[in-house]
Amino acid sequence: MSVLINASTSTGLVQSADTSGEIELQSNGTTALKVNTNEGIQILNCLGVGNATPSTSGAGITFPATQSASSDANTLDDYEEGTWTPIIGGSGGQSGQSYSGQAGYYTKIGRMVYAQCRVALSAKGTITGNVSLKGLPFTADGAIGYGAGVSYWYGLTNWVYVFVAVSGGTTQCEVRGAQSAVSESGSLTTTDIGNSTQFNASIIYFV
Amino acid sequence: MALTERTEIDQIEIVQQWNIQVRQATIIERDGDFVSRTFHRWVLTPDSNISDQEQKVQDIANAAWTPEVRQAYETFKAEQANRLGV
Repeated sequence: MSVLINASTSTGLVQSADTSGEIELQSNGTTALKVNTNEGIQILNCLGVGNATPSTSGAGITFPATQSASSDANTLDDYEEGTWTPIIGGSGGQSGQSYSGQAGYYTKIGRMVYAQCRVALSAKGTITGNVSLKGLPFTADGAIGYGAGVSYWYGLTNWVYVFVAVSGGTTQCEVRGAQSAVSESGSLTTTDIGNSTQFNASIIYFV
Repeated sequence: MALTERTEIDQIEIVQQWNIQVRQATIIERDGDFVSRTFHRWVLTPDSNISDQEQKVQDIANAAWTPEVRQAYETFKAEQANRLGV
């Protein structure tokens, strides 16, 4: 690697010709990294942390494919986006379901998972126990009952409000709701759903 | 210029003894150079049907799900059911 001082454009380590003290690391005539005491550190494309190979797509921070978990509360140690397949099942099991739509997306930031889904039955098959939304992309931590929202539901019996609660240590949510404005929430069972039941949900939980 | 797409199971993790978290990566390459990667995830438990999983996933599941782990999972499920009032 060449080291040039007071050069303007080259390949290697370049120090600004003025008095700013700016240092640039250049490659093929393009500045990949710039350090300036006033402006901080500027990177052209992606920064790979944890020895990750920086993505060649866009600009941002590339984390290792496998999380290197930090116990420090101020350290962001993971980021991942992807898809998952939601299913409607039962706390005691399920069989024979078919779907007209199943779509799930997630973003994991540190230990927090934000998962969205739309799941619509075309045949409810056999559902045992309480109705559950299953297939979350990561196992929830050991606590129980993270509340999460259902933004849309269709094909239920007389429920005026429906939500889901993530069960700790699992990848499923119990579907709960209320049948009147003054009643306490309860669990939905197989008789409450039909062959065209649909849920759209946004779920936030910790791993 | 040739774009190619391939999928691979690039991560298998065991969480809390019995949960096997599987990540499938779909990788797009142009003339062998990496272009993009997307992920799809699912989690298997001892009561999952794993016959349609890749062999390496089945191997890990069969190794992890010992009779003791299967029993612990059944106990966990029963406790969950009791807490949820099933």
